[in-house]
Amino acid sequence: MTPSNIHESTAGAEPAPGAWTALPDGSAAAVVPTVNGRPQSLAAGATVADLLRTLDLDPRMIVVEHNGEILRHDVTRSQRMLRTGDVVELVHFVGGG
Amino acid sequence: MVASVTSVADLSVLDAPLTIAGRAFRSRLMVGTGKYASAAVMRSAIEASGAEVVTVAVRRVDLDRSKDESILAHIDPTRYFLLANTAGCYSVADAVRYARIARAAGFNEWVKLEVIADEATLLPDPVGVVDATRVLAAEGFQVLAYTNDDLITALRLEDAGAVGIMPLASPIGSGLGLLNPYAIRTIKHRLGVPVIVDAGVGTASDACLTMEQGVDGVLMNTGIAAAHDPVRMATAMRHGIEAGRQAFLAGRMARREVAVPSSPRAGMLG
Repeated sequence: MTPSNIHESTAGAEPAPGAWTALPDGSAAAVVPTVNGRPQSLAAGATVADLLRTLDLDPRMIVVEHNGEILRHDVTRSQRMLRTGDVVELVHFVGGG
Repeated sequence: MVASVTSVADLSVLDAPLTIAGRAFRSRLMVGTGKYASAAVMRSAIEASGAEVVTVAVRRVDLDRSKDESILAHIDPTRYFLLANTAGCYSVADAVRYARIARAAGFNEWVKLEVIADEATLLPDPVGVVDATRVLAAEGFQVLAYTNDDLITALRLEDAGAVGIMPLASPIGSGLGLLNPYAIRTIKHRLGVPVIVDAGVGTASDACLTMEQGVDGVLMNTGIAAAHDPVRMATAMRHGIEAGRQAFLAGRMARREVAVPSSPRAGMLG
């Protein structure tokens, strides 16, 4: 799996209803996991590490929970493939008391 | 000269460090990182407070980047000790989940454990926090447990493995100050682990009065962040904490219902 396999994310834009199942090049998304509560289209075979790259997130600042399992290590993240229906939570520290 | 009098030469070592689970802190003031108008004000206020422990919340990354970013963009984790909290959790399962996620961030195994029971008052769930403490302590967490000012709950939390107990002065964000000094004093008197009063401190006199009860420290957020000048209030809080601590260690005079003159009765002019 290399980053070139991954299509650009539509995160940030407001997708039209139903449009999230398609990737920007018009092809059907191969997998659509739910990421932080919303559908995220990814190419087939995309891993958690690919997801973080797609969303332009610094992996060192993020804790990943995949289907309830915390993925601690970079190796795990680069090997764990995502599937439609998977639930991913990307979590970090924010200001609080 | 009585034995307990501190000589002026000892002024640089006025107090032992606050030690929790074997870790020593010079400052007895811990601060939150929420509700600041800007990151710059937060940084300056935390600096002015002298705090070494700062608490942070665990939340989803905002994928639209419209509001929050990682607090680590503004707080240097090599300079401050990050104490993740489980604020916003209303069940044992949620609090345990948030604590595990926080630990996976890789900074430390500590957690400020909150299991909230009621949205209007944000009062803690005493049964839930005891259960969650037991689970997390068994997993190797160093649990600082947020609780109400009830002695029996505090004792249960210590039994469950908490390394510190965090009873409230008054509800979170209320600024009502220390509502029950007797209850806090009793908790401190009976517990073996450190007692850090958390929540409700509104101004420096609240911080001072709280420390005068003999507790080991105070954690606050809104009292500083919601002041008109947070940096100045952080300075006041630092002094309030230190004044209250020294007053406690010094031991206050006995209260009397009658006046006693400070100047000699003898030697008045004829």
